[in-house]
Amino acid sequence: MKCARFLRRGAGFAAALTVLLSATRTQAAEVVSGAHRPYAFGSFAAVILLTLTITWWAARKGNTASDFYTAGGGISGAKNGLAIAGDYLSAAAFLGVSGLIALYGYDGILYLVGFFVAFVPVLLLVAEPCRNLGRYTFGDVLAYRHDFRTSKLLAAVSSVIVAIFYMIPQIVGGAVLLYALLGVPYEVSIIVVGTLMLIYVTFGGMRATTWVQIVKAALLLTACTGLVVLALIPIHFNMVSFFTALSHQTALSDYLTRDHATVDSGDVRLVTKTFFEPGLYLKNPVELLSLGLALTLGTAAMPHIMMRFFSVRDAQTARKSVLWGMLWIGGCHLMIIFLGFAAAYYVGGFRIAAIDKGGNLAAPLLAQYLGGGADSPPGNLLLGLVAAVAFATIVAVVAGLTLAAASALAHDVYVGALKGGNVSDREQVVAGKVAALLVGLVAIGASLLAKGQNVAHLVGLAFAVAASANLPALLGTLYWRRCNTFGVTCSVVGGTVTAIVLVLVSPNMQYPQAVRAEASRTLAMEDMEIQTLQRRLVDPASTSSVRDASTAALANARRLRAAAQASLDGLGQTTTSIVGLQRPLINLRNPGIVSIPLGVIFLIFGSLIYSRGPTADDKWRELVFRRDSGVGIDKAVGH
Amino acid sequence: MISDLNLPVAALRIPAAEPPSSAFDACVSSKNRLLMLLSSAFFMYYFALIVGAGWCRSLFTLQVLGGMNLGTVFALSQYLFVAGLAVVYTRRMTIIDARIKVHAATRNVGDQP
Repeated sequence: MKCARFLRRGAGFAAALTVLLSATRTQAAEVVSGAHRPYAFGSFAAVILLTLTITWWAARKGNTASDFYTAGGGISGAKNGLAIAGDYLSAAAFLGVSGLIALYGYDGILYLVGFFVAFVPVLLLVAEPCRNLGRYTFGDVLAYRHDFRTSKLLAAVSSVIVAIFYMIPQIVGGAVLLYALLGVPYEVSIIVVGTLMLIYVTFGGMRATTWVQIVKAALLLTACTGLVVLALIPIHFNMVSFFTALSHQTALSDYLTRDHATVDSGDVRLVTKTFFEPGLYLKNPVELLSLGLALTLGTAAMPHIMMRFFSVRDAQTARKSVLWGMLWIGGCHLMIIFLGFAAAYYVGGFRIAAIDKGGNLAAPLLAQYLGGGADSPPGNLLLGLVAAVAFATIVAVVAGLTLAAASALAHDVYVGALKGGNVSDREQVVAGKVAALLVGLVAIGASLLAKGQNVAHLVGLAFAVAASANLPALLGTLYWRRCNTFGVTCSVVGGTVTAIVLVLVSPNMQYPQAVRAEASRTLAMEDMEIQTLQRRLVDPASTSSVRDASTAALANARRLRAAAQASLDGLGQTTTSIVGLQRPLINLRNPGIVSIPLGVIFLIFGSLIYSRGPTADDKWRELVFRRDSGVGIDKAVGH
Repeated sequence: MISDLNLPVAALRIPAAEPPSSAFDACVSSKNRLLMLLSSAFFMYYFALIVGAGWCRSLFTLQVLGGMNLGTVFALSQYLFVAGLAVVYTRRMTIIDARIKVHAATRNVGDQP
């Protein structure tokens, strides 16, 4: 009865959501015309209904603390691997990097390689020890050896900070996707994404989150495979001829010479050659090194990734999970690389950049093109499907992050630090659900406040905090005999503060004077462009094709002008960034190259200056035994 | 050592005179050596890509395979390298796991930490 009621409510919610989304759409979206929007709405509703059905099913399976935090701890390696892929393959990889490759070529590949190889430290150093030493959270691992309350509080604070920093850009990304494709207002989109993530986590806990991630990973892999096949059909599945054609494409050459100041015009082949070389996007080598460090070291200490290893039976299954996860993530990355180049070839840099300057809609636009174009129902159906998969990608990642942050608050702070572990099973579940609600509300509120702000740098900041604060503390705890509570405290506090302060004084922040100058330049340029295009439209000598092109260009110029004006209006009278600076103090967008070594130094310094307790050696021996043998870990529940 | 990869039985060889705790510690040491070796290899290979893309861009533009330049080949090779590394790690750990299981059981009974 209870389940049927949940299902009816779920279906009702999906239907209400579709009606709400349809009713609140604005005229902003130009990617999907009004006549074709039902296809896209239908795809979104189908994905939402599917995930809600999974949540209903998961909610029936059990409601113990172990079910809520780790799905009973008996997820198989293959399933957990797919869930890791679902947890890790974010919109940043699918939408963001495919767009980067479409607009900047080679440099986009460097992002994907960084995301992928980051699983080597996870495989070698983190997955198995975490499974053997922890129960529900990163805090459990620290508390195995260090002061219980301090470890729990530190782990909770850093886990919540990392999760919230990572969640906000994901939620904002989901809202921007809904707005750009369907015209759904920003605020409504944020509430939709936030409500969905709360339903998954509070009703279904880890089991529902795991299955939502599994389904999302399967959908994403299927969508990528389908797009790759469709993109290869026109070139008869000949990859060599595809890249040869791309490297001789005049449209690509024109785009590169117009949009990239460093590329000189000339022979098409020589111009397009730069597209396959480093340097179009990541111009500063130190920045590249910093990003590489943050990606490879941050992933291993992301709380939502670590949490996945508590949901399996033993260390060997954790290892298998990582291997399966790497297989799916690597396969998906290789397809995304091709899709980025395919978008550059079929859709073109001009159109991708005109729709979204950052190129985030390259993959949906490619789907629309491959399905038959903007005016065809199949094209818009395919675009709707790809966008719905991207939306599922976002909500699955956000659900994993919500659960990780909620677990840290409930299990580490409430159950561990405040109650000293003396709470009933039911209280632990209630605490987890209340914490999920709190985290969700904070993330929704912060995302609503972030309207109009550039929040993309928060992803880099999340990785930097994880790599600078959590990873030194985690690796020190696992592998360094001299490590102690004070060292871990210095590392977590010092690493977090350093990373945040460096970002606050970096070029990531909004500097009103620079933004005002850029917006004024854009206004002047677009005013001239609009006048030229208007003259061309009324010129009797213009052919119909010239008029059509001018009409489209005019709409785009007006959109860019409106965006620049909105940017100017939004600034008001402010002249400094939120920390009172007129210009950045450092020239690094990602602070990893400074904050990560500092985090390690804090750990070493703190551990060496503070004497270890009399039982430190015994605890260390106990940890090594448990870390490598797994003797004494909790029994799992099979799935 | 290489033969150990294909002979799981060899993994169970325990020196007769060795006390249980030191046998377990030997397993831990061999595991740590493996982790150090593979981690070093990984970081060197990955950061060679970053250094190349950042500071040796002209080297990365050299055409090496069909129409592909060195930078692209090296970037894509990271996927193959990581796959190979994962295979080596898994095979070595299967052997070490078996040894640890034997020694941990012995230690668990007679030599609790």
